[in-house]
Amino acid sequence: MTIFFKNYWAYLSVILSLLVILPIIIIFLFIFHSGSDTWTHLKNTVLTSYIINSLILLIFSALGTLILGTVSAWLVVMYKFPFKKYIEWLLVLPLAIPSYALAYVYSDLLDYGGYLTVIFSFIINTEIKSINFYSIYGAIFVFIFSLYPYVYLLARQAFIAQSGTYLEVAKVSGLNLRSIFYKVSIPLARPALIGGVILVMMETLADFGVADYLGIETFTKGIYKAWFNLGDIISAGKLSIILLITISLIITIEKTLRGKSEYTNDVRSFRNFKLNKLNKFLKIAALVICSIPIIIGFIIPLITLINWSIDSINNVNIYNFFNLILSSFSLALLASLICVAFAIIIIYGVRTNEKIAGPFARIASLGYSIPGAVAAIGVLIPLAWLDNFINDFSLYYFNISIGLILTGSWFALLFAYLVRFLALSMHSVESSFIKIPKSLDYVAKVLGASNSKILTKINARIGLGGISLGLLIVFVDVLKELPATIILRPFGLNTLAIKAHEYAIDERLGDAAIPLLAIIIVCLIPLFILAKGIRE
Amino acid sequence: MKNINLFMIAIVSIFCIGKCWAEEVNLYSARKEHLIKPLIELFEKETGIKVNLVTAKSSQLHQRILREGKNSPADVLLTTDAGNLWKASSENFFQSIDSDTLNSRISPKYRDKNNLWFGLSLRARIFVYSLDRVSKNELKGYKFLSNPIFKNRILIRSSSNVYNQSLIAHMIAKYGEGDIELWAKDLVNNFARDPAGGDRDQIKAIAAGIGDIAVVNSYYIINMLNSDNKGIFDSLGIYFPNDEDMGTHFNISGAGLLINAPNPDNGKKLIEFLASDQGQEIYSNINFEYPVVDYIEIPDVLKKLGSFKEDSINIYEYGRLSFKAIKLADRVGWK
Repeated sequence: MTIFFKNYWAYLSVILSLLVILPIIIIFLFIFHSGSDTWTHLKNTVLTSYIINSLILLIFSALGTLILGTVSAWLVVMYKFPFKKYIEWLLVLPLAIPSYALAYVYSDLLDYGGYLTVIFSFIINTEIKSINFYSIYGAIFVFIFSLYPYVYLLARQAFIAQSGTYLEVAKVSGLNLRSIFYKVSIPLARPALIGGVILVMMETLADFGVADYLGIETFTKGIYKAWFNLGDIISAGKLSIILLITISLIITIEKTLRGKSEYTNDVRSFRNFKLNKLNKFLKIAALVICSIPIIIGFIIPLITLINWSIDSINNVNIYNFFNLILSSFSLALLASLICVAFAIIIIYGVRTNEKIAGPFARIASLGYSIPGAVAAIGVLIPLAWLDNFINDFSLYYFNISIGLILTGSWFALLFAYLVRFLALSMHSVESSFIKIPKSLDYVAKVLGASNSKILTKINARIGLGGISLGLLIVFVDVLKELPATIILRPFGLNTLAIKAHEYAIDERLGDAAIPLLAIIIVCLIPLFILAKGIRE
Repeated sequence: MKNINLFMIAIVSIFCIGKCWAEEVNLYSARKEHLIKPLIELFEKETGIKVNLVTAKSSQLHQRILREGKNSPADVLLTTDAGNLWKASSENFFQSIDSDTLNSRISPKYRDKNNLWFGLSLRARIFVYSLDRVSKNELKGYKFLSNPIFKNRILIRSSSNVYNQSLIAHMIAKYGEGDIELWAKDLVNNFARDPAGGDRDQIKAIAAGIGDIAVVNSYYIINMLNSDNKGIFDSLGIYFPNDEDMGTHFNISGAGLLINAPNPDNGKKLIEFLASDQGQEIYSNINFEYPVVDYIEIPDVLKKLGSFKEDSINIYEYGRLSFKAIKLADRVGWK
């Protein structure tokens, strides 16, 4: 018992992790079913090409976002150049645009009569009728420019948190800035960079919207096909397991490579370092490099959507639309609060006792790579069982049918978001907690502070940046989420993403533009709050 | 203690509020909200029955009903494609409706033989072709699309779409699986590009010169004719495929009453309303589909498209053969 109390936080962390792991376990149980016809069919026909396509997407999206995110973060943290103050937070904004929206926009702009087709024709001075965006290159393009902010945000925070002392020591030792970048900053920022890239990889693997719209045969599309088209949930489960194993392999390899090195900042001086000045030419170059992702990932899509929406603005019923915004907003807010609360407890539990809580926390964070629809089923199976049990129970003893109180309400949906997005909040909380020297915890403990006090007074305060980043990222992602929401939503709940999706698959992009713009605007609210944080 | 009692009462009453609502019906709809909302509003106004709506893809609603089991709140499942209706009825989702109105208004061709589900609108899968590059007498039935003269000229969306699955199933029923597998192989060789995008994108691709013949659902054409894109139809023709063996492939959207429906009477009323004169007119007008009730006036734009020689097939076949169709498409590399 005393052991339990001593490790109270670690056990609490384990319990919360287990709750999130439950749906993942349910999916894993499918592996014990014997192979069906569908499974053999998929294996013999399409599986190989699904795997190859997914790997290509994975590798290039990861590389692209890593380069784009790290370089832009390094430039804004280390150098002075014009408009830097604005660029620094504008770089976050592509997060507000769902990747499927980016796919709609660019396939249209490059299609027959699209603006970009016309512009390119003019530039190269020969007529092109359309540029085929419906390809794996198109998908890689979409993922790089919509997902790089994950790497940028974490990289930027890591670069800032790197103690100026390290950099000064490096400078005194005669390293120039480029060597500092490669030899000091990048290695030190590694957990953050890898964390960001892993998020990108998970998101790429779990994506359905982009691949579906652009007609790329990916692994996740295979899961949908097995389950929804061929009605074979077991094959779908098996495919999901392969996906999960791939991600856990990547994470494990990373952990092994990282080895035993600790990344906490033991040097106490957080004093700011001096920004480096650039010559005129390099100033412009830095500005251009940092503007490209903003223009492609945010400005062009935004303008296109506004342009589309002009025609359909009259079809909008203001009252319904307001309700739509309200329900999307509250759903996203609630989900992000729950995810971050779980993340703080789990990560803190790991911090107090890595041995007990660590493995569970890592498994719990795998949920992000599960496609939304699969997570939804993992949640639906146990909850529907429990629901039916509760209802039968109350019917039997009280003769009242209370209906399906879990799956028929927001509960199931919020649970699915937790399974899916916990990893996002965990990564941000972890990357800020990891920067807090453990010696602080020990000192507090020697001075008689309890673990809860250490968490609330020290870790949560110093790690506030990571915590709010976690809130923000989950909020934005829930707002854009589609498959789980569609499957689990109760009567009467409609979200902006669903609305946009329904119009888009009905090939009415004009009508889809308005809810998409609303998503962007709602996402911008927390992003501006974050931006304010960045500027201060 | 008192507080706990109050708390319990509060909890119970929260759950009861939904239950105590006078008259309601719960609708699971694969037809998107903007295509069904006007009908729902009219139904609510005329009957005073409140409609609770959830929309999702047909297959997702199917899984949901399956998981919810006997306590599922759904009364009516409204879905597109006969294949989906067949799948739902083969899982015993539906109960038979005994309704003279429905029986007299909807031809047996468009409903289940045990009255488990009823078709409510019709759409045809037809060709759009370039007037410059294709002459009309080159076009025959679907089967002829695999002819080498159409090499690199055919545009059609992915086989993961149910419209194509039903078309393939229909053809398997007509010509046999072996024949159609060979046909599909040749068809894939004739593709102008890897299948991508929706039906409208195929039409746009003709305009862009990527291919010459697109296979699309009838209502997409009208939707495009009603939009800014109508200009591209100046150089495009419309053709209803048809040969000695097979008429034009058509499909339905339809509805059924769920076996555990908590409000079966209201559910029946809703389906009857959708088949009424008023319901049919709006239902087919919103999305430019053909009504299932014979004498209902077809919208003008639809008349202009031309009429089609419906194939004689029994539409359960689409569902029965759908798995075969999907696997066949995978084998021949139809993405």
